[in-house]
Amino acid sequence: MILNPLSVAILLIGLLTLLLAALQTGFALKLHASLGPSPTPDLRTAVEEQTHLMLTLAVVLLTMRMLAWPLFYATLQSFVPDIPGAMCIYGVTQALPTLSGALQVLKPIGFFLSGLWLLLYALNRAAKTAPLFRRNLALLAGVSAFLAADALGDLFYFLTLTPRQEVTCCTLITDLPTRASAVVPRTLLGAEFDHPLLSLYFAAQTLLAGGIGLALFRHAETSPARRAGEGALALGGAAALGIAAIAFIEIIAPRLMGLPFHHDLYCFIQYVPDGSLMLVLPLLGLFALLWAASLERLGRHEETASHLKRYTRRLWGLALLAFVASPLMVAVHFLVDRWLGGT
Amino acid sequence: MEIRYKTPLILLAILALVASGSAYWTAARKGERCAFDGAFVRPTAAIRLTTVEGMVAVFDSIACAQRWMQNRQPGIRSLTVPDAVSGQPIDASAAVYGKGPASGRIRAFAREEDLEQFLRWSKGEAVANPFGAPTERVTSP
Repeated sequence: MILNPLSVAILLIGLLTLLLAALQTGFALKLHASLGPSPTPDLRTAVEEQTHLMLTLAVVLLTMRMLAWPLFYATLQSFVPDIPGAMCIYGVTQALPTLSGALQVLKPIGFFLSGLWLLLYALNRAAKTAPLFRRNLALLAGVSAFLAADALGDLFYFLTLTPRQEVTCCTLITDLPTRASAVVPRTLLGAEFDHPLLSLYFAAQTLLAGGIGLALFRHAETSPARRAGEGALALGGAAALGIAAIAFIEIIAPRLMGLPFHHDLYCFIQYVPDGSLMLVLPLLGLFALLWAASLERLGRHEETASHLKRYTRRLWGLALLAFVASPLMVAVHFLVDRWLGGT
Repeated sequence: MEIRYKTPLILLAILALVASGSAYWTAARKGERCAFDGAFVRPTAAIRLTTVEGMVAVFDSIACAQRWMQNRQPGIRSLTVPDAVSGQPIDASAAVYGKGPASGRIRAFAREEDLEQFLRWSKGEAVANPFGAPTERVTSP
């Protein structure tokens, strides 16, 4: 175990999450079962009174868990001087590669699920008779179980990670000519793919932002058309994120780091202060589109119709902001670099 | 429905400002980078190697310098390491070395007393010159 303020914080949050999320899962499942498919108004009121504290606690817990995602990476970064051979977060992740890989996949999923539950909870509260209460409980049970597993993974990972093992440096893996992020654009765009890929990145982000803007101005009134639009935007968001990921690894990160042959995103967030923001914004944009599409399916009820429309528009607004901001920041970096006579 | 532009535009302007500040800061620090891993090198942690051809390579740790030298086997004219106490550069062959048990990072010291104090404090161990003896290192052009 490596002890520093960040690892202590993440261990405490993990322990607290594990205990509370496990309790919450059991409690939510029990209440969900006791309500049945069509509960009487009296039974529902009685259950709602019991859950007030639990739901407030869930809001705090899920928000805290969403913040645990950046904390996870900050903690890994703080371990770099302690792991022999590690020069960035990549090296630290190689000390326990399978577990760290799994946690890196679980974290964004947990962030998405937590956000979805918080939105559904807020939508339910905005309605007069809380019509989504049962659905809310079912989702809370699932999300809590997921977060408990994630927290257990955090505890196991940070308690077993020791500085004894020599690890490989990122340059030995990420800069291989046969890396997937180089093979895909080379196959599709040719050997000199730098300029076409960069153009494709800016075009994809602009097109998607245009699509979201169009949806915001011409919001479809009928449910099937709205759902089709949301589905199309979510698919477009996923495609734009994929293109952004390849463009960042192959061109943007090496240029902004001033290391033209180095393709590691962990080094990128270490060397470029706003690198993590540039990477997270498109992901947040995709999450906002997916949240809107999921809410349309989970939160549909005659009482929530007007609120749902408002929520969808706000989420699209967030997605638009995220998909515009990231390429804007990249463009500003390129301009400043050119102005200062850099690459 | 009314669309509000003010808040998103302010946020975009803030993010653009953050990006320009970050770009300026990154460009300003593009001076000295580790020749092995590209990390920025603090002046008090810089290991400087001058090859017999007159090329200067800077590293941020002894491990980086060792790995770089393993790959290239350069002829060395001079090699300085930073004293772990003062940060002042000292000749690598004149320094004494020790490593702590936790990080395994090798540190260089100008004085034996400083090394002993570090070893007592960290419960680490003294190590031989990681770059080898001067006669082994220096290669004639």
